[in-house]
Amino acid sequence: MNILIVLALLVQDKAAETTFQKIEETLNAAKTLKVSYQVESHIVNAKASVDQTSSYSGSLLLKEGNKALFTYELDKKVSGLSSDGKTALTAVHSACQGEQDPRELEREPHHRVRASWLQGHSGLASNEASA
Amino acid sequence: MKELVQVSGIKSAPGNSLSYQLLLHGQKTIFEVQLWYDPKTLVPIKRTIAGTTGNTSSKFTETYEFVLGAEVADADLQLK
Repeated sequence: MNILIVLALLVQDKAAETTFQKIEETLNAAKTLKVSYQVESHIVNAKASVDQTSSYSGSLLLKEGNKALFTYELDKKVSGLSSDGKTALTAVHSACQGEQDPRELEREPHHRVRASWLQGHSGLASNEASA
Repeated sequence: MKELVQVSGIKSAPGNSLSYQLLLHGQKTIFEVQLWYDPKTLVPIKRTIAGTTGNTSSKFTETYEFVLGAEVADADLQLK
């Protein structure tokens, strides 16, 4: 009886791995992919008296040739990352507050436009995208 | 991507979902993941990720809407 249970579990796990691979293959086979997402996070550190819940949302666009646009909105501030297949750009800005359009920053040399999270300014960082 | 993320222990879970462990490259925390998927289209619907690092435990619940093969112009891929 125990052997049957073990065999059943093995078969089930094999089926689960196959399903996982099929999901991977489905996503990898798509020439384009659009995803809208919402995230709820809950972080607890009892020692530091931290019990924090937050939520954010965003979207992901992927296209053949390593082209991508990833955006997320947190506390009414929209940030993102884009790739044209050769260069990856990240922007930290607040569209809601009408700060500098990150597209303007894309024209600047990347050594001048590092993202400035700590200063709370609009910013942009550029790095060569990995193939 | 597979070098950055290591997946192990994939098992079937209730309600058209899979459970597995996730290990990020260079980190010691093993995250417990449950992934719900559409059995017809095989696209993810929801994922929970939970793990504990030191005294900090975290749980993320993500919900998705996937569209595969949609028309995406290069202009749509620019930061706005």
